[in-house]
Amino acid sequence: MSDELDEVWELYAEEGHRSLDEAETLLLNLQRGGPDTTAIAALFRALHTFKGNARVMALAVIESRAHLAEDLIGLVRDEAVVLDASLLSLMLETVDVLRGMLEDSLLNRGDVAPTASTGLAERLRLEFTRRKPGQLPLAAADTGPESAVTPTLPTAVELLPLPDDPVESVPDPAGDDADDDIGAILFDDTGAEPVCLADDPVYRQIYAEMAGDFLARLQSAVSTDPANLLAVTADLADAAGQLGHAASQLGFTHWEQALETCQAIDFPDFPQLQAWLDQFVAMARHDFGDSVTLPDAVVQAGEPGADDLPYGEQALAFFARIQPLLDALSAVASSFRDDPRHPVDSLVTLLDELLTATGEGGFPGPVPVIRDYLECLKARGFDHASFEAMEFALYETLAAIQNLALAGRTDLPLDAAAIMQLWCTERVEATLQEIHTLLQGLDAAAVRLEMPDESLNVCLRRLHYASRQYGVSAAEDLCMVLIDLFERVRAGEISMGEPLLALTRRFMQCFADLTSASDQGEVLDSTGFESLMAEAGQLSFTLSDTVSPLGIEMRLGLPTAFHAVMTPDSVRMAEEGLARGLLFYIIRVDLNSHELLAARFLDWMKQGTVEAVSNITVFRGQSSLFDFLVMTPLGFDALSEALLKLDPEGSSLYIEQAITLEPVSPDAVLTPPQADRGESSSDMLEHIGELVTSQAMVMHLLQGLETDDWLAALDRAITRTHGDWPQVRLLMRQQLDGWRERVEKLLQVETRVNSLLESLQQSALSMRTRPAGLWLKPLAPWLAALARQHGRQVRLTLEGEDVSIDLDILQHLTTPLRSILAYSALQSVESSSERLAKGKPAEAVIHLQLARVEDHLRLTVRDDGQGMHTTTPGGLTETGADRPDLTRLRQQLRSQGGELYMANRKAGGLRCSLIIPLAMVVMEGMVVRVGEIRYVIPIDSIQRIIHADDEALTHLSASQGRTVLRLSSGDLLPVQHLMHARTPSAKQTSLLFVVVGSTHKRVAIAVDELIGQQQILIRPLQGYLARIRGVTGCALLGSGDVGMVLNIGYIIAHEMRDEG
Amino acid sequence: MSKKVMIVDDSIMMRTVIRSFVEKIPGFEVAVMAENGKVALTALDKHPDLALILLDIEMPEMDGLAFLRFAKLKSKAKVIILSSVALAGSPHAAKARSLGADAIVTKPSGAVSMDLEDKRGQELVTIMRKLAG
Repeated sequence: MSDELDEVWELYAEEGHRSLDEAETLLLNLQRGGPDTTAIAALFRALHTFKGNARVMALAVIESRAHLAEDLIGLVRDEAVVLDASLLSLMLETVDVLRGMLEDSLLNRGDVAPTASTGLAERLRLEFTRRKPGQLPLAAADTGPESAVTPTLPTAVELLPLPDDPVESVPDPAGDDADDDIGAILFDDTGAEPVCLADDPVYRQIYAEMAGDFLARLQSAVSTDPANLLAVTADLADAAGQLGHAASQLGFTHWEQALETCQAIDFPDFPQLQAWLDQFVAMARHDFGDSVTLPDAVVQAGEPGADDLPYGEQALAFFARIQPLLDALSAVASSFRDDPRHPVDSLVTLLDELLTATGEGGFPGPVPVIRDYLECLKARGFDHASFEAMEFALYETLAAIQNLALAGRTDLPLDAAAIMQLWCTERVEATLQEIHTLLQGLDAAAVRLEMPDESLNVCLRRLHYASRQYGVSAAEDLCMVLIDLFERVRAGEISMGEPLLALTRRFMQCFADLTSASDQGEVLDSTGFESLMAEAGQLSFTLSDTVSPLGIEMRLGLPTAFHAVMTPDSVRMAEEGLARGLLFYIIRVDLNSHELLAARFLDWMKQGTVEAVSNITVFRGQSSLFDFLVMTPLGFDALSEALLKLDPEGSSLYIEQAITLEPVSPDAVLTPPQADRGESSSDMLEHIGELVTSQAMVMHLLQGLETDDWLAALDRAITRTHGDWPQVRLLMRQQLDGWRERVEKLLQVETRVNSLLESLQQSALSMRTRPAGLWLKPLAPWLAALARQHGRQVRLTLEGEDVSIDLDILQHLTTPLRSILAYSALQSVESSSERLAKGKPAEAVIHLQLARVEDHLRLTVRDDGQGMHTTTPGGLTETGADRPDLTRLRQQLRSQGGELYMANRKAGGLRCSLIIPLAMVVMEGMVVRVGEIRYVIPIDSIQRIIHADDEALTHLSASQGRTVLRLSSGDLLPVQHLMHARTPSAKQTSLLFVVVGSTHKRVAIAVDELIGQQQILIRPLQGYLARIRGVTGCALLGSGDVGMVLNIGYIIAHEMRDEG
Repeated sequence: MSKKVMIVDDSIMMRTVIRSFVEKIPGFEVAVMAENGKVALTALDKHPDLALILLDIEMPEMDGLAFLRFAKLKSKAKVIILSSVALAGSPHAAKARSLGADAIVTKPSGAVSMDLEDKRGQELVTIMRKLAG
């Protein structure tokens, strides 16, 4: 157990130092070289890794500081916030502080005290809020690190993901300091969003400023020369009108009403102006507190007494007055539920009282809601739907009043905001049912949709409030996204289709699950909503029968900023460009500084040599530059020349990036895959979202195909044309063309789905693998310490640190490898004094080499000690108290298909080889097809791929009629035919061979098709299948097929034996 | 009397394209153009009679969503978001909706969409007429 703890801390130390080193290097490079999206992404990953490791180690303070830094860089990476000098400096300082924390935590084996870094944390938070007004960093909502400093290793409970960070909007402390944010883009587009504008703190702040301006004008009017009064009051009326409009937008009905009064009096006198000033100052003080700037004269007059603050009390009195009325309203509603024939008189009376109370209370907002419903009630009688619609509107209005007039008060006789959320939560089931009914009424096949009314919007708002009650912000966001999508349908921008309906239905299912989990007191899971959010972002592509942009973006390796601007049209265009074999470039253009140049550039693009696919804005200080993604047959030099003709200085128009496509030719297929693209869980989520939408599209297309009735179509054609056969043929041809088009679309989607599955598989695999060095490096200090305890000095040297190993293999290897190293250090290596006496250096060297050899991993340990003293017949030492039980170890390895060899070296010292099969190992493989079967050939074993005609094949009668391949060099290679390809087809004129092996032992494997290179996870064959020779295991391929992984070592040995 | 329109976009080429498009629509005239939200905010006070604002999102100094709040409070003009990043169902679009944008139209081919009229012209005219009354 102690060793395991040591190892965990060593891993933490190793990764922590590396992450911080990397972060520092990247920051310094960014400081010198300017913006670089790749470097910023890497910086984010480094901080993310450091934070994650701290979380795993339950180092809450370190984690929280790293999380804040990560959030800030997240803004730079995702939201175009500029990494300016001040931010760079702050980040460098943060990395220094984190490094100190890392050292402290390693010394103490526990978390650090929070106090030393409280100032830094606050600065990071402020910086985040300044650059992203209206939102707190996610880290801010984490469990307070100050209270979580217990230096313990993680338990299963601690390793659970943190609950959703409740992101709350806060007022922008920076106010309108846009000047400070040169080049910054002030998005605050995540987190819970208000439906009511007054919920938005920035909106409230802007209104407070406007109110301050109005008060200044009013103060000016009060103290103006009587001769100017007329002109001043005319301006005042305009200002009152403008503020009244703003009040109406935010639902501040009491302001709206008071300001209307100002406008209604044409010639106010001084006492009237003073009365208004007193009234509005009181309202502003109450509603906005310090946020509003009061006129100097008012400030100098001092704070008002309690009597001067009637507004809050007025609101309280109003709420107290209507509270029993609302209770009675609920009771009456219950009566109607019990007995629909309940007389409406009592309800009318109640609503009349409520109407009077709202009118007299000085809060006219609810008046139209109640009045309209009363008219409806009197005309049509009671129905639950209308009553509930009135209730919802009434609570929304009252919540707005509370939000403004009684914010922060705890002594409320009526908490309208809470009631509204609860009201919505209690009706989630009914609301979902209502949406279900509305969706049933929609014609999914219609090209355009006339939405029936606002009902869907209202339903989604109800769910929005209910989500807030549940505290699931992803659900809140998704409600807004759906409102956006349905509004676009209403506007005709997108068409209603099955994918949108399917998305809405899945949203409803998620919501039903959420309600159920809440009812049962379970943890509320937001992942379903997050997945649907990703899917919603792809919907415009699905609805326009286009596969999402992700494939194109990955193929072209586009900067992430392009993701937000790729439309279905641009995706289609890029796909066509790829099919035409065009080259892709990103051209950076300054369109704003040189109008003539910009015009020339755009004219040049219209000529057709270069086609613009899409473009994004790139901010440089206060300037906007643009990156155009273009495609053209021109090579780099020709394009550069063309651009230089337009801009001879080359400063405003130049190639920013020449895009290199992944190779597709058979010769190039052995090229190693591109470097890590930074796949993350969010990328995977996006892939999954795209898969789900693709699935919806498939369903949509299949439904279309399923409903095709050819017999009925033929009947219709005959009827329409009165049996005119040429006309019938024409109509049927049209029908057939439409059917083919849908089938082609289906095939396109299938291709895309296969590609996505492959991407998903690769993402999952990359998350499972780790470079061996991460695991091997901590062994060095452990072994040195172990040796010291036994009077020895040992230094461990490593080889093969870059080999990627699956996490499961790491777990299996740890114990045997430690046993072997311990044996080497304690049994073979002599004590320091013995070594010195033999003329050897006091420090022994143990070399550990890790290599992947075809279908197995080989770990070799060599030392420069004296070798084994005594041996058993099996070549292993006897066990002792401080000696590892190697015999047992060998048995364990053999049971797993592995082996352990130990021998004394001629040069002195011990050599141990530990071999384990590649089962559960991730490897690069070439997928080939032979007949209907997919095989995987380990990429390391492939020497070349040969297209040959059958003249190159020779049957050697001297070798039992076996086939060999004659190479152009004259060499003969034995040909191995796999299952279903024992003999080449008579019709084949060109044959494909994969040559595997080493220089002296080679075999040509005949295949029908090269499918492509993939990373695969090998799984061992079980039971009877395990006896199949020549196969290491199987692997699930990106296409969904299962591939047999060839054991090349066995195949070559088999061939050689046959030859012999 | 023509309805007055404000165009807010950080690309001079895009402002030109939008102006040319708007001026072809009977009953509308371009009253003012601004290259970012900050400039637009200054212009807002001088043009109280605006009927429509065509507003980009990604701009330096003050972006479209920040300006949207001022526009909603300080002007009676209806605001149409015209942006390349406001794809249907995207977080940007949801944010703009929640902040009270009256309509959202996605630029067809990126921040600088010279094909705006060809690809979104009909839809934009319909929305402008509906909102401007």
